Amino acid sequence: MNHSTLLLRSALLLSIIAGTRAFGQDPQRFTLSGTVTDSLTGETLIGASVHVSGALNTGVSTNEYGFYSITLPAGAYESRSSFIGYLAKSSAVKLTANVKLDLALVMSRQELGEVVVTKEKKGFDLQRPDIGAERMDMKDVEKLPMIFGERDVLKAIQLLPGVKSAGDGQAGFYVRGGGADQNLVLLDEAPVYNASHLLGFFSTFNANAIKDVQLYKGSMPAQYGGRLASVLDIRMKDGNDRKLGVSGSVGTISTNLTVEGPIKKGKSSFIIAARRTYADVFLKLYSDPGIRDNKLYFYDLNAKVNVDAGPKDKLFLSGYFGRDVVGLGTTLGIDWGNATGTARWNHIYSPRWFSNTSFIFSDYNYGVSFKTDAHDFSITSVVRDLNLTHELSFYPKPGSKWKVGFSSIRHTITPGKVESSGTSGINAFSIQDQYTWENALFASWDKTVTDRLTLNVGLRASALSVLGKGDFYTFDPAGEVTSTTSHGSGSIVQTYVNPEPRLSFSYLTSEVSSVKGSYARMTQNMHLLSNSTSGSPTDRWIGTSNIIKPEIGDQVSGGYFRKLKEGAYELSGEVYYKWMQNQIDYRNGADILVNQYIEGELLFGKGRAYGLEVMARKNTGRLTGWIGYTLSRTERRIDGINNGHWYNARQDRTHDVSIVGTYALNERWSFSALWTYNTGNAVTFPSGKYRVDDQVLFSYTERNAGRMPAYHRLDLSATLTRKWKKHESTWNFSLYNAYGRQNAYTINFQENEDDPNRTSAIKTSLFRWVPSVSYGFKF
Amino acid sequence: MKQHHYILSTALFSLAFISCRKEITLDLENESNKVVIEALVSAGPGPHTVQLTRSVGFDASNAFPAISNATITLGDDLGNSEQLTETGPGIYSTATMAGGQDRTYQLNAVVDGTTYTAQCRMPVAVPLDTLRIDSFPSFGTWTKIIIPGYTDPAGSADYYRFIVRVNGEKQTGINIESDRFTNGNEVQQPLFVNGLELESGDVVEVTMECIAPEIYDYFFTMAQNVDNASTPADPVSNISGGALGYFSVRAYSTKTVVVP
Repeated sequence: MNHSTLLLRSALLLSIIAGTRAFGQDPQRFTLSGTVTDSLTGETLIGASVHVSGALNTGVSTNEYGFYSITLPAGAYESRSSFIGYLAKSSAVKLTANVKLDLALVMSRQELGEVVVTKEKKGFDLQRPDIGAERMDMKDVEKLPMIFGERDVLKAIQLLPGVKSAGDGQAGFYVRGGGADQNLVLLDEAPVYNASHLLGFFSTFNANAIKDVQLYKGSMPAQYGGRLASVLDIRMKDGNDRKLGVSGSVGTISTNLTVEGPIKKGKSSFIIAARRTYADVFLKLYSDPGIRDNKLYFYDLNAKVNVDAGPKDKLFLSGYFGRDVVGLGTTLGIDWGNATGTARWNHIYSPRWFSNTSFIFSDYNYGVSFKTDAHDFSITSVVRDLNLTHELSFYPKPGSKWKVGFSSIRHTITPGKVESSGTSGINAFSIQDQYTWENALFASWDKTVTDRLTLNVGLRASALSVLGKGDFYTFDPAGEVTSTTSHGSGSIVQTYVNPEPRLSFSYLTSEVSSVKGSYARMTQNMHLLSNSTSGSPTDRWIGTSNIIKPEIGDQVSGGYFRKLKEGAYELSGEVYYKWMQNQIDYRNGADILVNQYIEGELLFGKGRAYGLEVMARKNTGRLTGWIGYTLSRTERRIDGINNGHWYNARQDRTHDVSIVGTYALNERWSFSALWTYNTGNAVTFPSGKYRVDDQVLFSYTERNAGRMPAYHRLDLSATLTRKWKKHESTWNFSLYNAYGRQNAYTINFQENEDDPNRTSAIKTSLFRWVPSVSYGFKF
Repeated sequence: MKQHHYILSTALFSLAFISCRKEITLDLENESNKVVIEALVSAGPGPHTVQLTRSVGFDASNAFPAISNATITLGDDLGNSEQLTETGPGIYSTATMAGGQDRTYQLNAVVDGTTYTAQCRMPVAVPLDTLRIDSFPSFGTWTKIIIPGYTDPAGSADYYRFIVRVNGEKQTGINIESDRFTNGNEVQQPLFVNGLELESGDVVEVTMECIAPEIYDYFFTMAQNVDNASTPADPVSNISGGALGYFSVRAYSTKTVVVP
């Protein structure tokens, strides 16, 4: 407890220092503050801009809760609020006292013609020091081609430069050379440990329940920490607080239904979104129990309630629960899923002081059960986080914003627990739980230095304490245990402290162009061990320990951004270089499942990644879309692997191209196409073969020196939107992999079918010409 | 667990997706000529054999050149030693040396001036008690599976390897077990043999080997490679000097059952 009180005190101290500065200022300043919402649904708008002109020209954007605050000298101003896809709204404001101005923006109908009327250009903010940050517009995701009729944000972000798909049809992704576990995936602030369903083919995020998707691949703000490569901050909708609405969709593989509405009109609302696949429903039609009793499905449920607890307080409760179930008759069953819960309290101390306190729960677990006449045993594993976070935002004067806070997370990992009935011949067995406590203090300052230069300076101090109860081992170079030390419950075994500086800037080089740059250090204390090609639900999470050090990543990036034709077109180019320390790999032949001495199987080293990302985007007109290109390299050097030489990381892909286009034919029809191309993954192929034990085996030389064949595919879709007075419907017809490219999912080496004396490389491909239809409705 | 993953993937692919398999040509390194040693000492009088071959390039035919005229010596911890004689191309056999439980054996092989050495201890034999065929439902059919039964001794770490022959034909696939979860129990773990469909009347013969821990590790890595692990690598051999292969000293027992 000492640690957390210390943190709390320091946070308070910081805020007091910041506060004194504020109160010492000119009393003739007043604050304009409020919330920006959607006029129809009451959903708060994240990242909407509020610009004021008058005695002073300045602007801010709304925070994660739609709140904004600007403190200005007394006087008359014109405020103008705008957001992508909405009509800008202007109002006259006379600041002779603090003014609360809540703004409800009207959505500009997306149809052709009217987009031009709004004159509101989409696209990047040249002045914001946010290099490497991307916001995904859910309306763009809606129009993209789908696979199996599922809209999927994780597949949409893979089309951005610097973000790579984990494989054909996979929801998993890699950012700027980071591993799949180096992405911090947050749903309403709660970390999601396994963001995919059905072995990675679908993401756990039900697009109908999502309001906002923000990806940071470079300049992570100081409030984020815990992963090296990226932060994907997903916010759920709050629910319509004006009227009850039902929406849903029926796709090739799943159905989903969303109900939302006011609890108290204009004050509080709820949303419940549920989704389930139904391929297995048809299995029930079979009379053969061998088919009928098989299971293969997933479901998920998102729910959120928000309550206005007075003019200064707002409470949010949100939860996610999802599960995958695969069962082979009654013999074998595997199920896994995440559960997350977030309770949040927004409090406005004064128009200049906004705070949020969150209590966050996250649980990922899987179970494997095996049951025959003779056997009955199960293996379960759990990762559980409890997290308390407090954030205080302070808007002292135009062009200056502070954010300070702390976060305290308790991680508990139950790596593997084997339970068994007495007759099965398997002994009950449990690997000891692992406890770690991750604390962080952070402060971040946004400052407009001059008309041209904007800065964000941040510092995050993170401390990871390895806790008892448990046995802690040391290992010799061969990975054998050399000593064991026992620590009691709650005792601190070791603490790692890491300062993480963050700095980013934007410099306007002209009215239409800017140069941005950033440096960020990130650390990571939860690590995923996986030795399967595609990622498996049974991959093992492990915390930092006496043996496993916090992973550290330093990234510098720089970029040039330019708008053309009044923002109708945008061009950007970014370069980055990343150094990574304490990277983890495992010994050849490591057994990482249910292994008490897992740390003896691990090897440590460093990594480096660098690349160039170029993007050209067209924002207006009938045809919109972008072309993205990434040139990159990702390498690792680990003692004990590849003779200690640098080798390609698995996700190293030299070239990566995405072309995305949407053509709006008329009010009803729009067509989309996307094409992606990437160099194949770096893999280890056999170099020779030999015979042992009457089997032909392969020998290997250099790690990941081989390449999978290049991957490319074209997807097409047509979307028909029909609107009536009270409801609307959408049909989406998609064709995935339209020219039927046989992309290699895996390559296996085996005996040639015609000549048993020869060996063949056999490519397995999935997903050629996958058509899908999805019907969506909204009341 | 490996098997679970295998079943999981198979279930998904067969039910939900239509996958497509096709032979392709890859430009591989084609490294050859590595020394491969496969040495086996079993409980009993022998003869025990050591087989020496060389590796070939990936694109080459499966004709693995035998290594003749090597000097192979086998010794044990009682001071016995014997030089093996080449009884066939690349096959070297003992004449007198017997294999005994709980004893350590040394292998010394000199090939073209390079010396390769290894040692391995024979575990105490655990007999195969039962062998039966069971079936479980799998996507519309009943799959017949082979279930060997044995009693694992408590108080020792034991490692097993199972070799399956159906109608006299040796099956590929690696079936290994450790007693990490089964120490001291009567164990009946099913064996999974890729692509094997048993028919009534088939004669199934299972050999249960009690193997040394390093041999278990060797086959564990080999199984991971076959299983398409993301980064395959040569299994760690207990033979030093840079040869591929292994030196296994084993106790074993065999049972036969006719598929009902």
